[in-house]
Amino acid sequence: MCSKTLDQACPLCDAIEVLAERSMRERRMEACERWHNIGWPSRRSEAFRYCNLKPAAETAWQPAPNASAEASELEPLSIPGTGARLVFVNGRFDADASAAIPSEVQLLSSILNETELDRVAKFDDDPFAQLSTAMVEDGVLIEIPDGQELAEPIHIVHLSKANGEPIASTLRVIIRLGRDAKACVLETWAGDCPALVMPMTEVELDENAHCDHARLVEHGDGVWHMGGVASRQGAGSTFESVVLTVGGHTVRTIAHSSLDGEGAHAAVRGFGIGDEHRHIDSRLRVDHMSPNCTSREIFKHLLPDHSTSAFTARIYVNEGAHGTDAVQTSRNLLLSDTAKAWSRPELEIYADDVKCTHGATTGEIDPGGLFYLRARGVPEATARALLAWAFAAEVINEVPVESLRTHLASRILAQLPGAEALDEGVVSL
Amino acid sequence: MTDPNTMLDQWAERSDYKWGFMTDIESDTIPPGLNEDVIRMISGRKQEPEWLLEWRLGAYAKWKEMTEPSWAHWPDHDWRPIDYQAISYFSAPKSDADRPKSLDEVDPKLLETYEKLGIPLEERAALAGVAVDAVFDSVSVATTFRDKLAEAGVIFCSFSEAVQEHPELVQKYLGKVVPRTDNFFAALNAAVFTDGSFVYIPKGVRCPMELSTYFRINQMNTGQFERTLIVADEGSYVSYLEGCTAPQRDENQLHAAVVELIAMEDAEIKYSTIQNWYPGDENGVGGIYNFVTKRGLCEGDRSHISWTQVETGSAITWKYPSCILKGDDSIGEFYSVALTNNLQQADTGTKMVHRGRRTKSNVVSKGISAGKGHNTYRGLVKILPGAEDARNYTQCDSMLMGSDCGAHTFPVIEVENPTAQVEHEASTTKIGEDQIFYCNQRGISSEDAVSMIVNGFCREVLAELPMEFAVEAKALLAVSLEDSVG
Repeated sequence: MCSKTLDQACPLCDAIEVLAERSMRERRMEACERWHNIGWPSRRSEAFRYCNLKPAAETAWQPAPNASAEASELEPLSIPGTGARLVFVNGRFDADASAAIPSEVQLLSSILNETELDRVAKFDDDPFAQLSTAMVEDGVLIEIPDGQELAEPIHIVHLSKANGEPIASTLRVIIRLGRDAKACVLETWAGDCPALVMPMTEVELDENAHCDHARLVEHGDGVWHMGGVASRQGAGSTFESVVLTVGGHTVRTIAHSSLDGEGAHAAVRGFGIGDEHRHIDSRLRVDHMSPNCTSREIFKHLLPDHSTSAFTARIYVNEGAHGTDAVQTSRNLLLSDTAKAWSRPELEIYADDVKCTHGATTGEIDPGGLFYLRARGVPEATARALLAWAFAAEVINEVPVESLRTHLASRILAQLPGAEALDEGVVSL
Repeated sequence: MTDPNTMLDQWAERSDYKWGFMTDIESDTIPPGLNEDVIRMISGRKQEPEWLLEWRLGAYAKWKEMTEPSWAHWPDHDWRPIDYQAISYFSAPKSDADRPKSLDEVDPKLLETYEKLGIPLEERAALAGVAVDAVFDSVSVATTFRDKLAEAGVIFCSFSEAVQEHPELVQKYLGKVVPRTDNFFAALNAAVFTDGSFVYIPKGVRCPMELSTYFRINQMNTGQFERTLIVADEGSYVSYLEGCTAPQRDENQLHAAVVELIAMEDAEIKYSTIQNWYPGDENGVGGIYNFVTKRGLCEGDRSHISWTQVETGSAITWKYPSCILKGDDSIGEFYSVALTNNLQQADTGTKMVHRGRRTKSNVVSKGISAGKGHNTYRGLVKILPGAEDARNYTQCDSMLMGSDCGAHTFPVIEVENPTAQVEHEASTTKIGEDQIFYCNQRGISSEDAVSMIVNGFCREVLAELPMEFAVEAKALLAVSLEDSVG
C-alpha cells in the first residue's frame, strides 16, 4: 500500500505501531504485513479490474487527527425516528455528539481484542480489510440477548474531518443477535475532506434472529470509501442489508454472506447514483451452506456524467444445500453518453435441487416511456427524472425505517437532473 | 415403472465410449519434443514459404514467455499437467509421397475408419451432397467435390494446399482474427499447426453445399493442432460443419485448435460443431483436453456470423467461440449445448464485442451436468463507446442431474454506450421428476423420457443446426442417455 517496506518510515505504519502497543499486537502486525504484501492493486488484479486506485495509491495518506463534530455538521445527517445516536469522528468516538446509548451497545475501544474481530469473514485478500484491522481504534459492539428486541434503530454516524491533509480511518461495527433477537442498525458515512475510509461491519445472527442494516454513503467528492459487510447466519434468521451511495469519489463494498443454518434468509441490496467521475463498485458473495435458504441480491445504479459502476456477485451453493432459492439482479440506467456499467453476476452451484436465477440489464431511459409522458404534456427533463426515480424506487422502497427513505429520497432528487420539477406527491414513499 | 431416481443414477453411469477404436496405420511421426528445429521440420516437410516459418517461429518465441493459464478451478478433477515436450508435433499417414488422387486410391483402412465414424465419404457425398475435407490426423487425405465447388469459385481445401496454391489469401488473412500471440494455446497452435481447412467464398457466391470436416486424433501422444480459416467475401454465404470423434486412450491428449472466420459486407458464415472427443472413463482416466480458440470477425456492414455447438466429449473443454462485431448492423450468434458426465468439465461460452452501430448479438447456452460433471458458462458482452443502439440478449440455462455435479455461470457485461440494450438471464433447474413420472404414466420408459426432456431443453440450440447435424446431435445425446440407462 504505502510504497515503503515495513521497516521504513510510513505515517500509517507508525500509527499502527503505536496502536499495537495498546492492543492486538500480533493481529495488527500480521494484517499490516498482509496489507503491504498485497500492495495497491492495479486494474490487472481481478478484484479491482474496474476500480482505478491509481490516484489513491499516489496519495500520502496520514493517520487521522483527533477532532470532534459540530452540531451544524450533524444536523443534515440526522435521521428522525432513530433512538441511539453514536457519533464517530475520524474513527474515534465523540461522546459529546452522541446520545441515548442503550445498554446492549458497547464501545469497542475498551474491549478491543483478537477474539472479537474478524470472526465472520477475514477478507484475507482484500488490502483494505487488512488495513482496517491493522488500524482499528474504535467501533460499536451491539449484542442483543436471546428473545430481546432493540426498541428503536441505532444510528451510527462517522465523520471524516481534517485540515486539508488526506487522512485514513476505519471503524468496526459488530452486531451479534441471540435467538429470536431483533435489531435495526443504520450507518451514515460523511465528511468532505480528502479521506480513505474503511468501514467494516460484522454480523452474527443466531437462530431466527432478525437484523436490518443500512449503510448510507454521503461523502464529499474526495473520499475513497472501501467498505465491507460480512454476515453469518443461523437457522431461520434474516439479514436485510442495503448500501446506499449518494456521495464519495470511489465507493467500493465487499459483502460476504454465509447462510450456515437451514432456512436462513439474506437480502443484500444496493442503490447508487453517480456524479462526475464517481465509481461505485460492489463485490458480493452469498454462500448457501445449508438447505432451504433464500437469498436476494439486487443492485441498481443511476449513472449520469462520467460515472461508472461495477457489480461482481457470486452465489455459491454448497453440496447438499437443497431447496436453495437465490435471485441476483443487477440493473443500470445510463443517463449520459460517457457513463459506463460493468456487471458480473455469477453462479457456482454444486447441488441439483435448487432454484437460482440471475438477471442483468443495462440501458438508457426507455424511449417508449418517455414518449408516453411527453404525449401527456410532461416536459422531457421532468419525464426523464420521473422515469429515473421510478427505476430507483424499487430498491428505495425496501430500505428500512421510513425517515431514512425520506432522507435518501431528498438526497437522490437533489442530484437527479430535472427532478426539481417533480411533484412531491409523485415521489412520496 | 422404473424409479426415476434409480434411473438417474444409472444414467450417471455412462457405459463404454461407443466411438472408441483405433485404426492400425503406419504413421510417419517425428519424435516427441518441441523446439525451433521441430518447427522448422514441420514447416520444411510442408514446403512452406519463408514468411510462414518466420510467423511460426515468432509465435513460438512468444509462447515460451507465456505461462499456462491456471485460472480455472477443477473440483473433483485430478488435473494432469501437460508435458509439452512429450507431445509429438507431427504425424502424417505414411503414404505422404504418393497422395491418393481419388477415393479409390485412398487407403482402405482409412475408409474403414470413416465407415466406423459414420461418414462413408461417397455415400454421404451422394446422399447429402456434402463435400468432406476429412482430416485424418494431420494431413488431408481425401478431398471431394472440388470440381463442383471450383465451378462456383469456392476454394475449399486443406490448409497446406492453400499455403501452396493461394499463398496470397493465406498471408492476408492468417492471424487477422486470432493473432499468433493471442493466448497460450493459440500461440502453441500458431507455432506447430500441421493442417486444417481453408475456405474462401468469393463475392456474391452462395456456397452450393454445406462444407464439412471431420477431425480425428489417431496417433498415440499426438496433439492435434488444427487451424481453420474461413473467409466469406462480400455478399457470400457458407455453412460449415465440424465434427470430432477420437479413439479411446488412457492418456490425456491436448487438442489446441484455432478457428478464424472473417465475414465481409453482407456475408454470412454459419459454423456448426459437434464435439465428441474421448471424455475419459468413469473414473476420469484419460480423455482429451480440448483448449480451442475460435473467433469470428464481422468485418463488413450487415455481416453475420453464427456459432452453433454441441459439446458432449473431452475431459476438459475450454472453448469460447467469439464474434467481433465491427461492421455496422452486423450480427453475432452463439448457440451451445454442453453435456458433461462422469468427471468431465466443460467451460464454454462466448465473447460478443460490439463495435459497429446497431450491432446485435444473441447468446443461448444450455448446460447439462450429470455424474460428477461440471458445466460452466463463461462469457463476455462488451459494448464499446461507438456501438450506438447495440443489442444483446443472453440466456443461459443449466440442468443438473444428480447431486454430485455442478453448474456455474460467470458472465461479464461491460456497457460503455447508453443506447445499448443488454439483457442477461440465467436459470438453473434439476431434471423434473414429475415430468419423468408424467411420461412413465403414459407408457414412455424413463430413458426415453430423460432423452425427450433433454432434447426439449436443448431445442432452441438444436434447431439452429443444419439438418444432418441436428439428427446426429440428437442421436448423440440420445445414445449417451440410452447407454447409461442400459
